[in-house]
Amino acid sequence: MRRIFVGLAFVAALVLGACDFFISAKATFYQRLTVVVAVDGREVSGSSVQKVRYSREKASLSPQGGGGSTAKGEAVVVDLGQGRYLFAMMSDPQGAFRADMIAAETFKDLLPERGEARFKGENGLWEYQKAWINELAAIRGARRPAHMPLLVTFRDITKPETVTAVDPDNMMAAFPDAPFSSLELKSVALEIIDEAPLTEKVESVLGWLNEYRNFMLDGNRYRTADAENQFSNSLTARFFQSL
Amino acid sequence: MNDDLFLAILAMDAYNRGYEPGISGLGGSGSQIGTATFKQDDQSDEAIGAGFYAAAYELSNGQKVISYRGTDDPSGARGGSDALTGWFFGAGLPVFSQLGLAESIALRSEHPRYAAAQTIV
Repeated sequence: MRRIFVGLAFVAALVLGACDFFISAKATFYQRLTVVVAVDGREVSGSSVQKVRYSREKASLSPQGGGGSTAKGEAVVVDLGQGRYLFAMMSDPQGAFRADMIAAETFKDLLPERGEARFKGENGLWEYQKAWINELAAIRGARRPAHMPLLVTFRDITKPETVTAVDPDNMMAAFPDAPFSSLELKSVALEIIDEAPLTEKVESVLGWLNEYRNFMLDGNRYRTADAENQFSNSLTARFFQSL
Repeated sequence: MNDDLFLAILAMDAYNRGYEPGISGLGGSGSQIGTATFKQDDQSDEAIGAGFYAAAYELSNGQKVISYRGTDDPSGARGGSDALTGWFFGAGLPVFSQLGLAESIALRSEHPRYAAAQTIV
């Protein structure tokens, strides 16, 4: 069996190597997402530093090439006081906000375009792909993100199935029994920053988090149309923390 | 619509659901695509770590269809490497994790048809 593996790996390496498969470009940057809310007029905030990594593989087996992006880090945790928390998630189930994509969407006007003269010629696509990820990683500055992160809270922080979406325009609706009477979203900011330690807070607030890596928050193994609570069935621990 | 064409559309649809969708906002479980209802998928860290994704649909006649994403991340740039966790399975060596994940979601559907995408990047 071992000889078969070694043989297969050798043949695969030859084929893929001949296809420029291993020619790749990588870029890493750090971003800080900050959320500020007013609780009964008193401003409180939370922020999270996340690490984003892009890679591109030179077109070989398809005209577009390969590659992708990942984000590591965790949701923004805003301590509202008296055991109430607001979370701005790493991503949402609909894919509108993704921590790995939001910087590119927010700073889109600063990124190169395929039609620029410097990307003409035989290797134009590859030069463009490399420039795109390198110039994205070199951006510094803060803006309101192009998309609003999904905001959630828990009716009972010890019970993942009680997760509730928070409407940024009517935040109090998600806190019917809260010990405060007004809650207002003041700002959300995304900043691309120099290398910094990733934030580590969410696990200390959500003690059950690691038990839901392979389960939806309602306890189901799969996201399913048959779930009673569709919202808790749409989220896993990954939306709070990406390792 | 031709049956094969609709299965091909469902094969493509698997890339636009679940984690890292190619198109955002198509809706979660229970949403419609043509005459099919998107019923369930695998969102676990185990699946993402293996570079695996499958979506199950139910047609208006009750028939089940499962769409498996093809190879869209051979090197593991976004998670698990399809080359390491899936290709050996394709070569007949049932030792890597995509096999078990594919089997698990298939066993949850009664007599499904399959719409496997053939994307190679």
